[in-house]
Amino acid sequence: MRRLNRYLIFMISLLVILMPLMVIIVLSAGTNWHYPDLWPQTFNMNYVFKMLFSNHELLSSLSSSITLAIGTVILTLVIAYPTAIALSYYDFKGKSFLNVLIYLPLIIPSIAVLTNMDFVMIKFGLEGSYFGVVAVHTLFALPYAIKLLVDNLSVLKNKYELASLNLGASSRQTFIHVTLPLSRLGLQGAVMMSYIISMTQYLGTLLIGNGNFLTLSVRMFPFTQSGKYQIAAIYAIMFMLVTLIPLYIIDVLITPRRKEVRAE
Amino acid sequence: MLTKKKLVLLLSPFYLFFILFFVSAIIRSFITSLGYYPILDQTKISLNNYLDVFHDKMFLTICLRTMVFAIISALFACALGLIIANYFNQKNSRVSGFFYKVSQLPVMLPHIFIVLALLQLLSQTGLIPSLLVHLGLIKSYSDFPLILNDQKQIGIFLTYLWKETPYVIVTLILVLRQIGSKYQAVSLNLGASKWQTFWHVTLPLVQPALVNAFIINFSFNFGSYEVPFLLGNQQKELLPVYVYDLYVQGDITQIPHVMSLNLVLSLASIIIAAVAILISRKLPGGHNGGVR
Repeated sequence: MRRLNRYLIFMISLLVILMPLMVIIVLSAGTNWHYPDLWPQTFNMNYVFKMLFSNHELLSSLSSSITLAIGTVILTLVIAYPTAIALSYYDFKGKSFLNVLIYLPLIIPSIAVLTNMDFVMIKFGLEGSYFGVVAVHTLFALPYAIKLLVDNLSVLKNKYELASLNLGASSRQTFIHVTLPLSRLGLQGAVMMSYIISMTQYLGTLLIGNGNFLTLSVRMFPFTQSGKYQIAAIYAIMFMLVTLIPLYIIDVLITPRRKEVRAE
Repeated sequence: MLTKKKLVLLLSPFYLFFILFFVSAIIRSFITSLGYYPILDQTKISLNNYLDVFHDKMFLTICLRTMVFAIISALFACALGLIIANYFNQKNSRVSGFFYKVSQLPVMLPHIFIVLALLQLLSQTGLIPSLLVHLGLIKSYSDFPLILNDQKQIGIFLTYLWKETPYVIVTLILVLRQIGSKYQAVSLNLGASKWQTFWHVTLPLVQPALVNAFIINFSFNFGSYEVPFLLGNQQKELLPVYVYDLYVQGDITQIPHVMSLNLVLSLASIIIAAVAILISRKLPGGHNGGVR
């Protein structure tokens, strides 16, 4: 009985989590799906493939999504990595203040952050520019990236770096051969998280981008709003293709590494 | 080993970026909210905009409604996430490992996914009303209650629950794994019941992480625009939609007013986060134990 119960709870949770994804997959291929049908009358997979691989609008959305995400990942790492090293290796004045500052973009309501930032971006002449949008995405990615890196780096602290420096390695050698390999897991986590955050942003992309960057998540909006669910679902499928599959591959690639680290 | 030069080098990218885009944005909007807005030839500094905010009945109602909604939905997500994470953590690790992977899915997908699915499932001509009609439980779709774009914000609530509960689960499972099962084992061994062990051992250990997740969820629910825009009700407007409409559609003379709203909201959010952290510190597990 207990076993059955456990199984039941597990299945229900699984169903609730996966249900929306199943609905989206059926929506994308089903044609003539009207009330009160429980299942689309016909399926048209060809249409889905044609849209995915040759629709001009969809492909341009894809490319702006990915170029923004790559920019965000790079800018986030450039800022988050040194900050995380300072926070997890050293004690300094103002450390606890910095720890609060990092989380402010998540605590302050995003509508306030975005309208304020838009206001400043207009002043800087960055509204509608690639760098402006990347900066907004980075602002929201930074707290997560820094947290993931700090969690990873503070496990071992800088003991290995000190040993390496004591043994006569230069600080560049120490960074390349000790710090970088040790923070691999944290870096991968930070890359994944900032990629995801950039891909999912809606209002920031639209407002600061001034409509110049119609990413996948931005384009899904008007389709959903106007009831064109099938096209919205096809955009959703493309979104899953370019986020879940690469992240799954990265995850599988680092799993054996994880065991190695634990075995030490 | 730590020289001043090195520290400055390590921290300058963050401070440079933060001051340039974030701090400057806040300072600018603060100056504007005080009435200094040279584009309109307004250079007189006053607190009038802030006084207006606190006399604006419409804004205060919307603000209160949104705050209550954000707190309730964040609490639900945290409670549900805590129960599920604790439940699956006790079981054998293969099931919990698989469940952990699946729980990461909603965290990685944008809100619009669940909105799209909810529209197809729960709108009055959606799949669930259709199913009920087929089963003969309701006569026609009009018997099905309005769940999306309704006055009680059920659609938005469900969306946030679907997105945020898995986030809580993922965070807590990570913490629970880090702690291991040794404390729980000791407690059970010393004769505590399962419930006592959960209440006096597990909960204090995960409490700081849970409060952090609550703050992140609350702030998101309080200030995010897209879901209330798609699933909200026009009579019972939520704050982000109200502020965005004022900013985008309102005329330029409204800008100082919007900026003062923004700062009041930011302050409110920071206060709620600070209160949550203070409560967390006072609770068992807050001051030294626990894992954030």
